[in-house]
Amino acid sequence: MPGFLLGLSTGITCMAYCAPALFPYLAGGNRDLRGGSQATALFLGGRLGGYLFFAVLAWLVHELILKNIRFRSLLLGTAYSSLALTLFFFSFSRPGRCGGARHLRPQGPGLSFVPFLLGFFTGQNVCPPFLLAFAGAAGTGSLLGSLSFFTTFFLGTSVFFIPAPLLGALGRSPAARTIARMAAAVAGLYYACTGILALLGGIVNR
Amino acid sequence: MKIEANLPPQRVELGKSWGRALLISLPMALMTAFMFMGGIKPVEPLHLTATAIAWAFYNAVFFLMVKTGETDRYRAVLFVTIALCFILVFATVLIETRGTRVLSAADMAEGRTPFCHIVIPFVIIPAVLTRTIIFPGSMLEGFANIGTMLVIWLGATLVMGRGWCGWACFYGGLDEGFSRLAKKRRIGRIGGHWTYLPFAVLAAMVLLSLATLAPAYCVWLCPFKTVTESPAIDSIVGWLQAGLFVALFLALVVVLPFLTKRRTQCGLFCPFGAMQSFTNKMNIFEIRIDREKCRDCGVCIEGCPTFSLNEQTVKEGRTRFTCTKCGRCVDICPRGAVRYHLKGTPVKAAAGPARMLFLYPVFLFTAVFTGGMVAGAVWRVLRLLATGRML
Repeated sequence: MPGFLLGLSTGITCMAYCAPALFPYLAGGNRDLRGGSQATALFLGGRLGGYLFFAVLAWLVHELILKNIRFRSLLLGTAYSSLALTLFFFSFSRPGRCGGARHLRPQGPGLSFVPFLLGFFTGQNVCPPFLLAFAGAAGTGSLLGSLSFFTTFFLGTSVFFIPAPLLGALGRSPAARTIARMAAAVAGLYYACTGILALLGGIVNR
Repeated sequence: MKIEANLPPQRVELGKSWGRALLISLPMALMTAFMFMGGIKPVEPLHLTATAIAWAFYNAVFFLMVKTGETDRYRAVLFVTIALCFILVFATVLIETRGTRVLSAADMAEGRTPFCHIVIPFVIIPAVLTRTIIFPGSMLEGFANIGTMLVIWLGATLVMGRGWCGWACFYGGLDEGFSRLAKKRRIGRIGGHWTYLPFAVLAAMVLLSLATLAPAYCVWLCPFKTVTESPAIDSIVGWLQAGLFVALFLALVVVLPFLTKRRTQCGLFCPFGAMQSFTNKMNIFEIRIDREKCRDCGVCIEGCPTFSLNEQTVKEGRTRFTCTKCGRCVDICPRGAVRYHLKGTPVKAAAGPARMLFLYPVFLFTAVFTGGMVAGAVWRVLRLLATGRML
């Protein structure tokens, strides 16, 4: 319950952190409401994966993550750089045409691992609500407690993503699709810069 | 087609005679005189001289627009002058008040960052959602505060829509100036999809500003930081920021405008311009093409500095909604088919009155908004000549 309430109270901030990755993806494809819901669900699935990954870390090495700046910088740098690469991949690939994109679409039309990866990497975004959740999960003292804390936190924050599938309708317009894919590249550039700086910070702060 | 394109442009001259042109220009001269002095006659001789020079310059430009029927040529002279004067005044004021052009973390913490209009889209949306102004500047106090700039922007939006980007933006004159330096265009066509880029930059930067609660565009992408307020280069972040600012400035404001003879920063990158384009929908002034006169020669498409015309829009008799109303297409059309137009009136209505109805409020706004910058720059140059000191 505390995880769910924390998620509800900080979910808008979580959504704001995820928006630069999720919104261009949703608007960048020609989707109906169902397609938008599928993409959002995959994104949220990836995000849950990212959270659970951190839940395990919170149980294993919470002291290291909360107190060691170097470790946190390296983790954040890796997540941001991977997010940037995924955004670049989405931006520069054309579903159905680009070989690379096709390889990542094994589950049938409309589905791909891209939103899952976007969700997974944004799920490792060390934003203020996330740090609160991390501290709360670490405080439970057991793996099960940590996992359940992050799962309920995820459920609380996911409430704010309910309107997200509607953005898929924007992608009906070819102009909006082009803009969204370009926006993904611009956001990718930002995350690449931030990721490289965080990695450098992690390497320099020995 | 080529014969059409080589015809001399047909201009709408409302003030053909000197007397008529002077009469039309007189109200502008009186209003700007009052506005430039703020109701008080400057006492210091240098200040008085600088104000008089600036006033004479603005009114000479307006008179020439009225007398010749040409808009763009004289607007460009004014626009480039405003940009150069702004840089001079801005840099000197920063050095006077702070001792340096460099923006430090302490300045940001104390809310001493000057606010410019380009940040507006990245401030409005987080302000609506979080009730917090995310810009590290002052709301009402000091030089270039947030409140004043927002009020000026609202006024400009009502008066001119995206005309702001062709008339009043104090950065726009830079890429305009470089776009006019070369005699020949070295890069011809630029793919139409690139005109979507400003909207993508706007979308990405608004979302990132919301996520980070910091104006992401100012932190990473503003090319004008190169000539205005530099970041402190005392860390890897500072080096990276400065490198990006300089690279973007050279590419978008210097090299590409020179090679394409177009305003590439304003037409292909500026997120504020993208947002301001939507305000064109509400503004009563627009550019229309009289399809009966138009022969599809393409001169206007080739000449448009902000990529706001293409074959499809010409066929529809209008511009794209990104039009900055600079008047270049109106001036260069060999058949006088392109014209300023008031929404709700017939396209064939007399073009002269519509142009004057546009020019008067827009020019007056520009004069009032930027007159102080030009007068200030002239004052500093005169001071340099008279005393050997600019600061």
